[in-house]
Amino acid sequence: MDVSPVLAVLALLVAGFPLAFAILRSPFLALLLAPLVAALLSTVAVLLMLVVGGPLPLWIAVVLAAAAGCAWWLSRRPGEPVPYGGWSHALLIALPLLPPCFMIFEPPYQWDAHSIWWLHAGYFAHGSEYARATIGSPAFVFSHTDYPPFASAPIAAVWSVVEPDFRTAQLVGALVTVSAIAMLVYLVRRALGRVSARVAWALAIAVGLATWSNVPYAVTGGLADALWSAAFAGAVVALLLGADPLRRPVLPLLLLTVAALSKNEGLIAVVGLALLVTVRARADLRRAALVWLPVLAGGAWAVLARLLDAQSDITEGTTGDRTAQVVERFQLTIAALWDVVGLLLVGAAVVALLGALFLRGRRRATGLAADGWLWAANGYYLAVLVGTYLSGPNDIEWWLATSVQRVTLPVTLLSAVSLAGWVAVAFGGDSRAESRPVLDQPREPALSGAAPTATR
Amino acid sequence: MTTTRHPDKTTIVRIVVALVGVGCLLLTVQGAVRATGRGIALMSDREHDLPATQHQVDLETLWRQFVEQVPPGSRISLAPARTNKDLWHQRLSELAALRGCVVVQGTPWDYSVSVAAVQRKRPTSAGVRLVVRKVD
Repeated sequence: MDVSPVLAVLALLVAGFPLAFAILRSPFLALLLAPLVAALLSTVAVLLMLVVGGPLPLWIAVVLAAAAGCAWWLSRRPGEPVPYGGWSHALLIALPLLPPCFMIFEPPYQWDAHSIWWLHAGYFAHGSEYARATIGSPAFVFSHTDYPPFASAPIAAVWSVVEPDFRTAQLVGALVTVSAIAMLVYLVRRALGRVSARVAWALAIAVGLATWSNVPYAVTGGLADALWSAAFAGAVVALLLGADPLRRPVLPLLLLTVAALSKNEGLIAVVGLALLVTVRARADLRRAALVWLPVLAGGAWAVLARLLDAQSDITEGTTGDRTAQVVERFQLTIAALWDVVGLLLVGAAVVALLGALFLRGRRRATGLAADGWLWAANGYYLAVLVGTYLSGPNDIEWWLATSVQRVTLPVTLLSAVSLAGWVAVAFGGDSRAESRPVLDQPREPALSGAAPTATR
Repeated sequence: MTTTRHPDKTTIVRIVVALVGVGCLLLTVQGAVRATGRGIALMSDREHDLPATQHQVDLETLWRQFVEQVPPGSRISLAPARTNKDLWHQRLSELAALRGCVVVQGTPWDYSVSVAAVQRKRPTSAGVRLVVRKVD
């Protein structure tokens, strides 16, 4: 029996755990976050390798040593464990996500996994010179070599030590993605801190399971869409749904960096979110400026990819004069979006409208920010999506058929977050008197001040 | 005389929001239920998705033979396969990158690599083999 996949999983957990623990101060939650942190460290190693040169294992060793030092320094600073950090909370997050992960038994055959993410992992694993040459090679334009390295980097780290193996790649990708989904579930639960524990956990788990809504193989098939979407949605929850978005900024910033370094549309979505957070936290612009750090990280990759002659199918495709086709492209795009997320969007919009008209007071009492922020983020991403389909160079019918299910995942997740917020409000107690819901954790002090100013 | 107490407007809205909201969330969770069912079927029956399994077996066979026959860092020329030319051309390019090889066109090469179809002995056995020719 090949033990490479098991060893790869263990390596990811061990590599990411110290920094994850220093961020969360909970060993159980840190175990859930560790794969995502390990993937981020691998990404830093890949970037350093491409810029400075040398073999990947050398940079992995350097980055791991630096991360261990950083974790030691962080854990010596005064801090408190994050709420909902017990073993039972970690199990409540992880266990419901396991059944759909049975899809890991699907053979690793997804086209994009092989042609994009695992191919990138392959050339990263062979060191800087080979990777640079391959990124700029016209022979590999089909592989979208301009795509960011996050989804490939942890696989490259493993493959730089052992012989490439697709099962290992599939398992590593699934583990990192599930780690992002687990953080989304955790952050929804934390945002619903004033709601009955049973309701809050049920809603948080439902939002996490929504990751599988459009594509059953999204998490385990080796693709990056579920990874960046879950990370982005988690950051949105922390920064736009909570009452005090920048009180604990490390986890949301980490998730934003993951989204920006996973896919090009992730970076564009992160730019929009950074704008919204800046507007929301305009009273403290110095702290709000933190959300632009992930944008810088994603932008740095975009510049590096250009310098290495990577070509983008979106910005460098031959569009020609297609003015007459724009209307047809628009109609086809809207029809495809309607088929995938139309019903959900209408349902979520009806709920949001009713809530905004009649339940605003209860929402404030529940400690949630105004729902308009979520819809602004969702609307921005939808507009970018439609604009990309209209202006992109590909045959629109083929393009929609091969991508619309995957790229609408952030829309689904943000709609689910909006719905979860309003359902929590509807299940909440009387807005005129403090309700006494069943709580499984002391209330966060920061949430006690969830006044209108904090819920702009 | 008895009086009937009607629920107030807010209560009705809360019920509607809860019902529609939970309904929509159940809609989004359906995918996870489907994924669970499909995953269990795949776990218990290797031939549940035979085309996918065959593709995986073919690709892993080619990769194993590539590792056995082509040294890392070689310059290779891709000869067109008789069937599924585009598929195997792209897949062989990917395997070359995984092996650290350089795919060349026209310039001197160390190995010519192609794919040939073979009869499957069983539904889940390989349907292809790698054809490698070393330059003299």
